[in-house]
Amino acid sequence: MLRVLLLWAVGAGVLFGQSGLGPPLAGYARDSAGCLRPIFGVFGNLVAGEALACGVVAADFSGRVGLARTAEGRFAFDAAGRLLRRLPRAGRESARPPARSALTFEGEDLVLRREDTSELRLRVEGEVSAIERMNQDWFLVHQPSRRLVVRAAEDQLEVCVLPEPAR
Amino acid sequence: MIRRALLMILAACCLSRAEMRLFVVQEGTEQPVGESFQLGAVPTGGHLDTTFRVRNLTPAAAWFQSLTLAGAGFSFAVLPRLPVVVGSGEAVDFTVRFAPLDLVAYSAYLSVNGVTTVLRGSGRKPDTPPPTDPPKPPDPVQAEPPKPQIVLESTGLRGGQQAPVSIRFASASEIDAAGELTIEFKPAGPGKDDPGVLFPATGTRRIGFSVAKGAAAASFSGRASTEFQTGTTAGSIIFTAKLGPHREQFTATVPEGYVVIDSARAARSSSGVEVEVTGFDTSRSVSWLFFTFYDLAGGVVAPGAIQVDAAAAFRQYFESTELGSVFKLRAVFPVTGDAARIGFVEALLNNSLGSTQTRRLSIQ
Repeated sequence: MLRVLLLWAVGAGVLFGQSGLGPPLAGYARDSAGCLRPIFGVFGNLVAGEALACGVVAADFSGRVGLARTAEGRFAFDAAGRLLRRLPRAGRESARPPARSALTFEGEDLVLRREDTSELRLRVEGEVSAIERMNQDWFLVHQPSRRLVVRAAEDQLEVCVLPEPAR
Repeated sequence: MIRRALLMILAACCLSRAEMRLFVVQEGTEQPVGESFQLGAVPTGGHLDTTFRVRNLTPAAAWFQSLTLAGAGFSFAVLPRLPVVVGSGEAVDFTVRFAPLDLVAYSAYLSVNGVTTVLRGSGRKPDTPPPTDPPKPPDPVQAEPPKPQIVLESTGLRGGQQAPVSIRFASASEIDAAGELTIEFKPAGPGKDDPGVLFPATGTRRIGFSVAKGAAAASFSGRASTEFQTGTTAGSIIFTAKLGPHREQFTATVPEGYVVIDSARAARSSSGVEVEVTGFDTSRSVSWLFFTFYDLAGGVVAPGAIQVDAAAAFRQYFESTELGSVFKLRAVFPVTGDAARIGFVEALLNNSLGSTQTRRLSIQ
């Protein structure tokens, strides 16, 4: 017989001693100045945190581990933004966690292709210069004048604007 | 004497509501307007002026005392001086301007002496470039930028939203100019400020705009509008547009609402089942949480809904966080027995306004 121990029902102290409340991390994103920052909040209400590193030319975060490429090399970081290790310059692509989906820009559409071969499309105005993953189902779409956050929901792609870091 | 005057005013107020009739004037003829009126499709960037007529159809004079219009894309182009006594059979005209910026449907509430009519319209693609006013020779002494009007294109704001805001003018600008739009946030409750209230384009609460000579709207780096984030906390967002000698303000309200769940997931871990809920609570009043677990066949796992008083923990969190009213709740449930047979969970979050429930989450 299944039995769930009701430790939570004992009281709030027990509940939040074992569990917890905290700020939601939406992912990691490279800003227009090339600095890698944590992004906090919920979709449509995002706030950029303090820069972890600058001089970043490409970044990718899977939700558990991230990769940042700079002129000095490639670096892995964890979900808390801590530097894990420096990666070899060539090869070792297996260090990148396998993605369950990929977002590309084709014509005027962003196209998300999933592992199960299903796809979602979203029309965007303007050019797209780069697409990076900022969390498991979140993507950063770089445009010349702004950066868009695209989230892959179950049946659609949602889009909002990523706030620039305050300068 | 004072009492008599008061009685006369009260009598006039009571009479005026029902005895004024609203008409639209099209090609010189009056057509009565009902509860709603369709203005039609107008090219984006252009505008349509429609003349309405308020006529007193009663045998006695009546007051025309109030006229309001609320809705993005709509403004008064010609306004009568109010209040005014309208004689029996006489009429007063006013003009509504509909200026859509996007290819969407618009609506506004037009209220005449408290009687409301819904105006509807839509934006369509322009056939030709939008008409511009003929150039006028500038007056080197008196030319100044026009008075800005702050326009929100969303009629009802809510938390966790990016909404467009634009600045328009009653008439085309006679000069090139530059101005600034700022926002200020005042939380409805005693809590802290919400840093999520900002313009994404600058990451701050300040953004510049430019005005081109001949333009009827400001430009935000080439765009007709700019987005702002509403934050996740109930309160007032005060917009201030400064342009030349003008300083215009507009206040929008983010209301209190149910807890909004942005994402939720559940997973098995070595210690049991972990439920994670991300969302926000504009009222910052989360109180009770309920978790109901289901087995793989969909049956409720005993003892049913697990109830947790989380009010103190949330209150403490909202007092300490620097991120407005967003939260990530991580709840770990130790399980004895075969945890693999627990298939689903639902979480319900209560606040002072009501409850919000996740969909049935599959435990991964």
